Amino acid sequence: MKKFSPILQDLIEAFKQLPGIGVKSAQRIVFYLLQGNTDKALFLAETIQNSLVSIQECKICRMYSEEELCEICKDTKRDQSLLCIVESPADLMALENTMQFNGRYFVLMGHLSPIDGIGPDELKINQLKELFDLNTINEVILATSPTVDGEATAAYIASVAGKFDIKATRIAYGVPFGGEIEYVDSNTLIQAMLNRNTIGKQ
Amino acid sequence: MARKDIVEHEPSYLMHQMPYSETSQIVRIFSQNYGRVDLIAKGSKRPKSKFRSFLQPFLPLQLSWSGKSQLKTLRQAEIHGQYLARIQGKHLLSAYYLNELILSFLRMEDPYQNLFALYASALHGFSESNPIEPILRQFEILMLAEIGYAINFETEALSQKPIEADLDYVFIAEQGFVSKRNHNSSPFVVKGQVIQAINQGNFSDQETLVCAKKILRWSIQYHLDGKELKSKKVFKAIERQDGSK
Repeated sequence: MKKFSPILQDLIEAFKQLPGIGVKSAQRIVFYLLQGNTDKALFLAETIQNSLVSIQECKICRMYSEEELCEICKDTKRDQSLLCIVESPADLMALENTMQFNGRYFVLMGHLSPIDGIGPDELKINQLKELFDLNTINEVILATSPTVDGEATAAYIASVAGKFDIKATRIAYGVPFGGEIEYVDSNTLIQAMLNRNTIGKQ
Repeated sequence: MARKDIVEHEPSYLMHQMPYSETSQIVRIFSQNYGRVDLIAKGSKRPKSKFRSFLQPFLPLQLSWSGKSQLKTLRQAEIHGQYLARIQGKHLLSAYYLNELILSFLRMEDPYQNLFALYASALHGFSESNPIEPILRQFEILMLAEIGYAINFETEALSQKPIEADLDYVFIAEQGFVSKRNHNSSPFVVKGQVIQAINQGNFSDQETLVCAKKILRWSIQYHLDGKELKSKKVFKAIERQDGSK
């Protein structure tokens, strides 16, 4: 394909690397940006450049942040005694968007995966231990994925928390809200039955 | 011949999975009659995928797939048989280790029915929190035998004479057990009665467990040919962390 200019070709390739974008979409984006939307193109280029230079991991929770501490860790109104452990920044955002949680977070940037060689060092468990060691945390909420790897991660961190005498809790799993039992897969149903709650008076 | 490339309701365990494109995964499985197979699970990362909750390690699965090339297409996934109690802690790490052994050593699409049965019972043992070491040693011994690297626990490697309970032997990974008389330099000496106990699968004695562990670690390292098992590395990192608080 030598019919396009090499720079145009490179730009299409650059967009093609992004998740969920194929050749067609990449071409659409490129032509959109070049056809009289140069301000948007410049904005995109500058923001990407800026973020790569200034975004780092928060010193406390490992969330992406422009400063040493992220907005959540800086916020003194947030409950310092609650720490929620998540696997990724996307998980943190999903929880944060519920506006139900007022504690702080710790982002593992992955989960325990022995076969991929991902263990405590890769998840920076030492950094988490430093938080535990501050003696401000009463409860660690383990919001890792409900997968075998996520469970293993949760169990491991719970055991670490135990050594600091910190209570560890695990987010519940079961039938999705608004779902119908009939259509829930059997594996989830088993978990829902095993983790059932008491309702009403005992 | 026409339907030869379709496999239905095959008892299997998932060994490992990795993302493939935005929405799909490659799942590496160990099946009862087809051994190690790699499958592509199309759309399995979509929220509504019917595969999603099944494609997890250590679950007794029944999988259906089709295709002639090395990478088959997963058609159906179900839970098969009794749901095991959740495997935890060191038992869980050990289960990952077995998966990595299977991924490292088994040839693709070659049946290993005995090993499959032992794997299933090993998982059962782990889920009941039975002692880990004997389970691992039995699995390692059978696996090496099934892939053609059997350790000879019955005869002395040079003379082919039966191992004798009250003689001392030296273990050499590429040869087997050699009478200590022919080999003075090796620091690791195994008693004949220990070799006999391992051969009978009797790990009740502490010395047998320790020796068996060494023997198998050497053998596996030898056959890995310089490759490192990642799960072992993680295992050690966790133990180091445990030690330091």
